[in-house]
Amino acid sequence: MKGPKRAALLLLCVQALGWAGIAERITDYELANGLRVIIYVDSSAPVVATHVWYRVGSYYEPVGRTGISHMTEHMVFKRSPAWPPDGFSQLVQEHGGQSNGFTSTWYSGYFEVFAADRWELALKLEAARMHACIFLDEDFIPEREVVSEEWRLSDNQPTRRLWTDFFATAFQANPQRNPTIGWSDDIRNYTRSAVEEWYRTWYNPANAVLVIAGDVRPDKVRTLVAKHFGRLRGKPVPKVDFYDIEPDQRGARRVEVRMRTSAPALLIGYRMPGRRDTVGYNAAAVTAAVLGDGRLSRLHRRLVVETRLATSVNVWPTAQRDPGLLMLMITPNNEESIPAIERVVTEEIARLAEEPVEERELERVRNGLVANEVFARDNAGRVAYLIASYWALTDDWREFDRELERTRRIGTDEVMAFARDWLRPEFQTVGALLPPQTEAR
Amino acid sequence: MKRAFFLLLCSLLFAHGASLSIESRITDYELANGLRVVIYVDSSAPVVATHVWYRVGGYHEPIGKTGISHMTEHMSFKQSPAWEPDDFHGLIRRHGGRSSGFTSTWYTGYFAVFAADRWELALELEAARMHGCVFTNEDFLPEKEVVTEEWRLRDNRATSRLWTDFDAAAFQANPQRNPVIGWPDDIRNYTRSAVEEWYRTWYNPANAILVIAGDVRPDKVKPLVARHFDRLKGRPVPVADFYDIEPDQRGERRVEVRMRTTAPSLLVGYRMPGRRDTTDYHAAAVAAAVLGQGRLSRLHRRLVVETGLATSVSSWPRAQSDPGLLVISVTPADAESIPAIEQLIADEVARLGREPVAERELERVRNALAADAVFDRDDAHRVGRLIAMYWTTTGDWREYDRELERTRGIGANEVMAFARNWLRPEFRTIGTLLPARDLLPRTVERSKDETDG
Amino acid sequence: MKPLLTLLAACGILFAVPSLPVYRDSLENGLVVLTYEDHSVPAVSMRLVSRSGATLDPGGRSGTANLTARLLLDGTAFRSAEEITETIEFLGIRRNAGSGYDFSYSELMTLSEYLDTALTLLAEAARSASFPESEFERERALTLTRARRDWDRPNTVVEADFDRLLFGDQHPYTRDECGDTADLPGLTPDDVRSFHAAHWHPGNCFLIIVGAVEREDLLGRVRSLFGDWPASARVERPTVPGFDFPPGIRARAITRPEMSQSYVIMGHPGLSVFDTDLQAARLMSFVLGGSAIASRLGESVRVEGGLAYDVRCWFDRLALPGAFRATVQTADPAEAIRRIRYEIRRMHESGPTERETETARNYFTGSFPLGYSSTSGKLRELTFAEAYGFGPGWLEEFPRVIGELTREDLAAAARTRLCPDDMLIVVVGPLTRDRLGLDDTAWLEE
Repeated sequence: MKGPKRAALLLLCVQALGWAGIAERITDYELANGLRVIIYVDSSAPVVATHVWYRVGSYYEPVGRTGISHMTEHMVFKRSPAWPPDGFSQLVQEHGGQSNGFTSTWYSGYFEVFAADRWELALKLEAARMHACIFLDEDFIPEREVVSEEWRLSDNQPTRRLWTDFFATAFQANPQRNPTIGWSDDIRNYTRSAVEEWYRTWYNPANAVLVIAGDVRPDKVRTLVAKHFGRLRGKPVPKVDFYDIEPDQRGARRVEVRMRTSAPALLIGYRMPGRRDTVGYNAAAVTAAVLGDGRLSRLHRRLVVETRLATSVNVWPTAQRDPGLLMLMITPNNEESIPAIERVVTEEIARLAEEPVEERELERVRNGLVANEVFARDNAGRVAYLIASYWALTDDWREFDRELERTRRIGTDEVMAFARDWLRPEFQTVGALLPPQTEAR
Repeated sequence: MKRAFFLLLCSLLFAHGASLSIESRITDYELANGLRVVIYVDSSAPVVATHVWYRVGGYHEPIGKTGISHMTEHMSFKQSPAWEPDDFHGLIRRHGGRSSGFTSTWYTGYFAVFAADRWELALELEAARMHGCVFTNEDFLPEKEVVTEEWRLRDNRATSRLWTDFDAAAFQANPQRNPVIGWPDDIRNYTRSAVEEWYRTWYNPANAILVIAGDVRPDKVKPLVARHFDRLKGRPVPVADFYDIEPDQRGERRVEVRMRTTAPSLLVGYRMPGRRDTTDYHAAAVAAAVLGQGRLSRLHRRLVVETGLATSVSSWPRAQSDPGLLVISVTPADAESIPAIEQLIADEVARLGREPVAERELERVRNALAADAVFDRDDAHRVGRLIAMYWTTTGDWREYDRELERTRGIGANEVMAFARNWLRPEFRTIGTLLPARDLLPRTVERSKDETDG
Repeated sequence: MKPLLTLLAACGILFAVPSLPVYRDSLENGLVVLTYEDHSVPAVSMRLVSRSGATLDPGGRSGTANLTARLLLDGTAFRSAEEITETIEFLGIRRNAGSGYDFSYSELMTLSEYLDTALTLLAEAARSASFPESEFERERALTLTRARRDWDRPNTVVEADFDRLLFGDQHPYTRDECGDTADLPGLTPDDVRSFHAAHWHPGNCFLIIVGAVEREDLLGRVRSLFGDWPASARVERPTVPGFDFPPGIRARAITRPEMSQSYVIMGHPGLSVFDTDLQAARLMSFVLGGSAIASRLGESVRVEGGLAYDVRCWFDRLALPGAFRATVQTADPAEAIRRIRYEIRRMHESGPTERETETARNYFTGSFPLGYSSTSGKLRELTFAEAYGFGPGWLEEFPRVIGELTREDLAAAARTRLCPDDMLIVVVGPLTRDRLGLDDTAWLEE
């Protein structure tokens, strides 16, 4: 049953991924103040990517302060002793670098990419960002308006609204339900002092990872890191964990968004386990691919090719840490196809729980997942991103390696068990984007 | 017969409208520590009800601490210098009184009712509860189990589940969405010190109202209040206001709860404004009454009498301060009737936005609402409760008096405008309780063979 | 238009770039092969590009070039679409396709292991794509839905309106690169078959290979698979009529009361990618509005005014002259428009400062390599360089070109390329025209 082809594939994976090789190129240590430092050497281009990520995002926010991590991200570009007021981006540009920041449910991250001869600037900037940002009302008030405009931008996009409403319905308690940008009234109510307090709490070496990836020598890097970050003080990090907070779902849920739209959209989510369920979590990835990755996937065949009820189907697991959702995103041909699409989805999901997936089909799916991993590592910047995200989500970048191994171990039985336990009608949430109703009144 | 009663009531209300006001019987003042004191004199029975309510409840709780107000309520009966450990209720009973505590989204309240000759005990006990509660682990740990059991009780009750899921879907951001008892994992994670901190923050004269209602003389009450409460220190009260937080609803939402049940249930909720929108807020009360209060109401007639699709229906405005929901609750004859019921409700709701309500129908509704108000004022304990409730939810007990007046000002145009603006299909949330398809074990086992490093 | 390119193709000159492992070779049939050796991961990407894009869509048949590229790998004379999909998905090969106004492409990304399989499929598809009816229907439905979905985004509404007013109804740039919702339903498989026959042949295509390959070895494989792909007639490029742009400020307001923000686009005719002051104009527009934070527009509208999350401006970079555009999304369009107009005028009149010029130069030269550090970046840059005739040395020549630009070059570009007095402004949002603060405006009816 595990024929030569499978064996060849495993061999291929090991060679192709060469993750062992990547691991060898990693230096991983912690400063006394708690800052985790990971150096990844890749000399294929004379470029160095520097990432600093903090474990703070919308997951960590209390009601009334949703989106404050994102607001903080905006403010930490404003003012510090290391760059002229509002001059962060200019400074990076003058050195021919690129930089950005981003906030998600789980983390806030910053990076700079510089030519290898001048990358130390990134350390200087990020060290300042970590402890020395200055919060003034004159910066804060207009920036809050900027964030309000950013919120409006997404509020006017029907599919963004659909995602927001969908998550807010699918989750009752887990803070994943809140939009990263926050609820609009919270944005209006931010105060400078609240943002500053948020910054002082979470921007803290003990709550951060520093990843340096590219054309560097670790011994030199260590000295520079010590110079810039060694003197920062680590503070206690509040513990935030809602892993088990979400109550069991007892029945299907449905949310409609009616907005001016010319193409309806359909989201279907099923509860899926979080990373602590090592088998279920990876079984979800494989199951998702069987259902909707590529044109040979079951739902693509049935919905797009055979019945033409839909023009596209995507299925992927969205849980990053806590239990989350296995998502189906479907573009129906028109509003009227939606009930038929839902019936097909229900049938295919029931089939997964009843019939074992054939070995050949599983092999295809696993090959696709493995190939994706290889493609995802084609430059130092992306490797740095992956390392930082694994640190933020699992506390250990080596999970990256283990995860792939676990995915490879998912077989027919695991997929069937996953489908039976999790892909149940009462664990389903459906979201539909539809044109406004023209109900006669 | 019935008709005669209404006419009588009607004339009674309009003739004596002013006498419905409770203002003349009230003494209202504030202590230096911020405690609001309201004395309501009603000597019709030799009884005194003492209410102490705090402005804290599910609404005030951060995620991760949902239900902590309720847990605090449990703990506040445990130990204080004013009663022997776990003897609060015993003490009350020995004095022939009755008392209770309750937690809601908006407030946590306590009351004690005693004969007029011994009611001062209530002041002593509530003053002790306000500042002197003692939190020990030996009380806390078993009480947490009690609260967990209370949660299970609700969780196994199909209609509780339905309401929980319904609220959590109807509201995205406003903390009204969280169940007052809290999310189960939060309950598991309460610590004694967190509960004590919650208590110290919110149980605070500056965040409370004391209402003494019954057979008392204000001049005698005042020194007693001073004796028990003056020495307590007021502290700053955190601001919690999410009035505008809820995003516009853009489309219908639906939740199903599938549980072992013999009787399906249907909830239909439409967004309604909060109290700051005084006209629409009161129009909602009238609209709800037209739709589903009493056997003459439109939905009762259509669903129960004419079609027999449902066995009961009722409708009421469910918004305290912040915007909330106008709820229609239906007990369908069977699960198969639900689509037809939804259709009839949609039709009736649409009609409300299209055709003015006939004056006679409005009159019936106004009379019913006025009658409720009369009945409310019948009992000093109940008036005390309402004073406290209006104060905690609006900041001014006089709102209680004004409410009836405002409701009377609602006419056919206001109802129609309200229905047109608010009772829209895209503002609707529907919750259904249905029999489970298959009764699977309640929790998917989470394998924890490996945890994160 | 492409003298350099023609020269290269004619002579079959072999350009070896000294430091970057980028090579340009030509096969006898005219097919240009660009190779970028990169051994950092065991994977290879290959992109076949046709030098024909949406500009060459037949009249009333927009979307033809795009669908041709997207369907290239969905059925050939030798294999059904199903067989191809079976092969590539089983081996974890990923496919991608795309199109712009000036070119269209289809590509595969594979583990090195399956290079031959992927290359064979691509060669077969290039030569004998069959465009079966069922695949055509599927892809057209998908494209049509996406095009419709685009119209949900207010920026599509505002951009389309701006383009139509600027270029006139007949100009190719008023078409969606991927196909208009009005045209797509009328397309047939025969449309893509004839587009394929006319535009996908060795003289009008180039192949880019990026990844873990050795050039010599690779060329052997490419030659054996593509070498006998028959050359065909040159593609005629019809001349596109110019367009009139009347002087003065003209504006159109499209009122959408349900929106919470206004989308604004403003601008005027710009330049072509072949214009000699292209890079000077790019650097100048970068100083003016290259980023929502670090630029004059960003400074004024976002940082100082708090009026918007995003504000920026740019010149279209296409073969035919395009537009200069500035965009912003804001709840206060009157103030934002006022500030943008002020900054455009200031730049027009006095150009950038010495320091701004220096920053722009540093940014463009310093960040350019970061743009092609990934495989997709390499494909993108090489496609651009080859399609517009900049040559394979472009990756290294670019920093030199930029380094030579002076403040005076940028100021000259600002003087000639920015026209603060001749502007077209389109606003979609909740406000009516009287609240947009445009008193000096000729209004265009909705």
